[in-house]
Amino acid sequence: MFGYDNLPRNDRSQGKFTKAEKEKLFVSPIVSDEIEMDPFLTFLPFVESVPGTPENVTPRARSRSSKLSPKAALSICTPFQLDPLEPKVRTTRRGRAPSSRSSSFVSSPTSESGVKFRPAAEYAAIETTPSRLLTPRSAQDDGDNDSKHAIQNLEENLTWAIQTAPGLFWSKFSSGLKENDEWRRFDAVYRASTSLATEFVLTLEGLSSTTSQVNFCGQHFDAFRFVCDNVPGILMSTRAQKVVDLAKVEEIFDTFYTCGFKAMNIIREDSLDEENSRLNNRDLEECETCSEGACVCWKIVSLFQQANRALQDLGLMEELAGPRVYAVISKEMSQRVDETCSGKYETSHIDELADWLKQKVLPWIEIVYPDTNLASQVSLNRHDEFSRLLMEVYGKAIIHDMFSIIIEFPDSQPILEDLRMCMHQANLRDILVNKLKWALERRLLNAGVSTNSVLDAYCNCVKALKFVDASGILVQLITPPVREYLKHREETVRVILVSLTEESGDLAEELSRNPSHSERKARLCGLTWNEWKPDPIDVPRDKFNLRKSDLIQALVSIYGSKTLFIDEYRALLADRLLRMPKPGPITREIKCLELLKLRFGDSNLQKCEVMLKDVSDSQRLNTRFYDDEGAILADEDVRVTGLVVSAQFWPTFKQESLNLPPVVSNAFEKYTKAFEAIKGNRTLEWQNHVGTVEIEIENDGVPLSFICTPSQAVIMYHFSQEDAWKEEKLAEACGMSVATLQNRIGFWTSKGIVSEASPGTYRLCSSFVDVSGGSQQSPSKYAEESEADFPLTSTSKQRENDLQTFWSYIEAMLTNLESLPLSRIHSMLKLFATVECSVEALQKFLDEKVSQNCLAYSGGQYQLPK
Amino acid sequence: MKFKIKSWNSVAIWKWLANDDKCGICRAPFDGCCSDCKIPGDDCPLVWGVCSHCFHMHCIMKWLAAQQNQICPMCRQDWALKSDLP
Amino acid sequence: MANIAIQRIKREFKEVVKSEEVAKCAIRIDLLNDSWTQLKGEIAGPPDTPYEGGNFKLEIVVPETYPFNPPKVRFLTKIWHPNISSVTGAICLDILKDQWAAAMTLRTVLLSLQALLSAAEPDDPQDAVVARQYKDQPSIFRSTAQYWTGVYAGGPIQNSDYDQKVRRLVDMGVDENTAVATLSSHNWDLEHATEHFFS
Repeated sequence: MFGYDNLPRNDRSQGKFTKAEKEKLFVSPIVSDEIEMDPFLTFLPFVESVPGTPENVTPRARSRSSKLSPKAALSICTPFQLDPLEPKVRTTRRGRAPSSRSSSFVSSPTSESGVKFRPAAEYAAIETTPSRLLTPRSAQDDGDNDSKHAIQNLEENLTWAIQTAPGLFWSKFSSGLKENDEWRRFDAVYRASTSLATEFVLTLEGLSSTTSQVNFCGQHFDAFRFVCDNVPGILMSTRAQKVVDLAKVEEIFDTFYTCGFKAMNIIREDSLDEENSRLNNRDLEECETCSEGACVCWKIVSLFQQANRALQDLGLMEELAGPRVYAVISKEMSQRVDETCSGKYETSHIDELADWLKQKVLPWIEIVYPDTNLASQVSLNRHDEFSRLLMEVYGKAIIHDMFSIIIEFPDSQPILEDLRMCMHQANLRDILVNKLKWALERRLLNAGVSTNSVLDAYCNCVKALKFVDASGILVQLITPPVREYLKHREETVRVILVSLTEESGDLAEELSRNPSHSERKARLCGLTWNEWKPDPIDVPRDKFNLRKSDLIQALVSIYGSKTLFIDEYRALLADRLLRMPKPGPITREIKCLELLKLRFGDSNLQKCEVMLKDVSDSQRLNTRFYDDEGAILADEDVRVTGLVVSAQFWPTFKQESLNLPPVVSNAFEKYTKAFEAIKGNRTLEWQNHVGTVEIEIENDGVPLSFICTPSQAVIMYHFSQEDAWKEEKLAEACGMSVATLQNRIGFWTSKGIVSEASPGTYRLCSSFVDVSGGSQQSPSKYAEESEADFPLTSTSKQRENDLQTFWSYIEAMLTNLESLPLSRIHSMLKLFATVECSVEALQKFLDEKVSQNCLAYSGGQYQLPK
Repeated sequence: MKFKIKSWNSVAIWKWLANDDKCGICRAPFDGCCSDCKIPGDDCPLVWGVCSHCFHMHCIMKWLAAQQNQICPMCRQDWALKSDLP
Repeated sequence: MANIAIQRIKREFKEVVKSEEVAKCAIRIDLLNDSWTQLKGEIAGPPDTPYEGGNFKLEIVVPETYPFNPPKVRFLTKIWHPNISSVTGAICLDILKDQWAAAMTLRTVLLSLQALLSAAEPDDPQDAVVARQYKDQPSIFRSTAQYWTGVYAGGPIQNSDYDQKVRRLVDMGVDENTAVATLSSHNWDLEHATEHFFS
């Protein structure tokens, strides 16, 4: 028998050349492919650069080294590296009759011995005619001609291997294989690989005699080895690549593997069904692979199998086919992932995909890499590799949709959990960071998006990222641009606070979570010592530790300072309390304040607490004056309800004068008296222009109710006295400037109650029928106020005033010290703990002074202008 | 045209009827509270001396406790609480 | 430090900053550290006094019990004044001692010191030598105080006669400050002053 199965076990230690021997064998010059050279030498560089003995190279390592891999793979997998001098082998081969060769290959592949090369016939399942018949004369003639023949034989075989084989192989790809012609492409790969393999086996056989050993230039030369080692290299050499369009070959290979995959899938699906239904029920459309009428999937799979074996044996798998396998399979994976998951964020798909991998991909892989019995470790590694690839593909798909997924959080939790698993397997962090940053920037950070939406998205983003990565590194890497952006939107604090103090909603929920409690919880589910991982080195250290903070802390930290945030809260609270039609229940505000106190500490919110107390005290006071039994003011015509405030604790009220109608000022006086009577030594200073008034006006028997500001009510009061007013007169009567009057009277003109009869003269409309918006049905709940109408000084204005206070001090400092840097001025001002002012704010303030020429700036120092 | 006020809700700032706007001892506004209090008004009242100077009650008590002579920290006259309120 | 002390210093500081005197550069308070207990004051010599044109630096130490006890104040800048030690800068002023009242502030203290410079109290002296000169040789006192203001407080007025005398003593190996002080105590009689050193 000339079969490989009866060869001795593949003892590789015996069959290997040491590196030193190799070097001795191939003392090679550095050769370029460009120059036509002795073919032997041309390919020597491939050999030269073998990093070590191949058996030391793990399969994975092999697949990475590019040009060496085919050879290395082959040398591991084939028996031919057995020392040809080994007597037993030699004798056996020599004793074989050439005619019996082909039949001997029919014997089954020798799985047991681990021999990878199969009988030629196995590759020749389709008709292939060896391009030339080998005449291993060396085996027949034992005469004097022996060595001459041997050399001739050697020449012949080497010439074939080096010159003919590539042509034979590549020619299969050169005929016009159109893209849609799947089958012909498939066939091309099949033919190329199997025919080459067949020829290759024959050639090797020809070389496998003793005569393949010659003295070449005084050196021992093993042509057999040389061919084994170099065929893949020769095929893949750049010279060969010049002959064919490698990109096209790649395409063809893609088609080949795609076809194989499809066919395989159809078979697998069927094999799950009953045998009968497989035969009867299959639609032809389902089996797109088969262009013919009858399904040839089984056939295709078997050809596919053969072709892959051939490629494997030729050592072309890693170099030529491997990348295509990966390309095809990633494409299939992407497709699969898209089909399974796109838009479906509420469910986890990872099991489904893993199933698919197990059912569809791995069996296919087994066919593509028919080396299962070499070592299960290899195939196990390969399985791992592909499941990693799937995770990567899936992870990337999730990342692609990350923005939408974040918006849908927490419904999208399942898919985020998947992402977490994917990130565990594949290094996706940088992709996630970059893609999401980009998506956020593009879709969120532009003027068209409302602050509310930005904030919601930010919250979701933080929560979703924390969900994916509890350590917070992702939050730290991704969110800073959003934070920076929010910081520069003016209404952000207000929006944060509004949503924070709403009755429901994410932030309100977050607020009601006791911070100390959640901290404790975090500590409990914290990592134990052996789970701890150091931070990745490429993560920037932040001043504020975003990673350990919760959502509210993260939001507050946008502003860098609690105090600024609290100031803004106070303004918001004041605004709310003042907009109440009268001092009423404030349970919600109290609850909210209590929650904020847990977070920010009592002392920081002291002023707010007093404000709320003022409201409830006022409520009690009003009840006492009007509603209690024997109440002093119970019989008054005009009910003035007061909100008595502790001015030191409220934002500053704007000063604005307003003359009240006598009836109202009388009522104010009585209220004050009543107040003084119960609160010894205290009196009231009314803010005439602040408050809410409900009036009813009636013309032609149609009563209309309005809720408006005191100044609007006063204007209307004057119209009840006289129908027409010159604006100067009216302004004087109201005690306001003409400009203010013009502003305030707009409320009435817009309602069709008053009209400007002639420039500067206003007249009461004769009938109110034309009232736009039908305000008698639904008087607007609150007086419509523009920001200018609002009685409180805004926080930013307030802060500016505070800074102004220190201007004289700054001036004095600079008079004495001539020039100071920003930081020094800031540290001086910081000592006034009552003024919270960031360096930026101070700088802005000082720069303004510079622009007003009150200050000069040079060399990083501020000084007074000379 | 008939004009009727159904309700008039306004804001008033309460003030102590004092001859100064801040306490001479803690130098905080009377309408605020002394350094140890959190809530102004009833909880941190003012007291008047016969010399007519007034202080946060808590402040003057600390002053008197720290001195051997019970004198007004403003005018250094003997300190006595004014009995009848203005 | 008690809450009231810190609150008060902060408030006072703000008041001083906003006050007219600061605007006119008559008085000044600076913080030396974050503790609010160590402050540095500065007063301008009042007009029509020998101290005019000088700037006098003061050390202010705020006690724990402030404002129920007075701050401890002393001149850092050397000054020739009956109620201020020409050696240590210690001040003899009733409001810094038993006449302190809680309603007083750093600002009023500095203004009182300024007033003290305009109107000395030789009958209640801190520095007896200066006080005697103030009473017995008012013109010498005046020029001496002026000379000190020029030498130590950046005052504008020079006195070449005094300078020469000081130079003489310095040439003899006497420390300059000691020379100034000794000559001042001896009514600028160089002979007596020399005797003081070499007898």
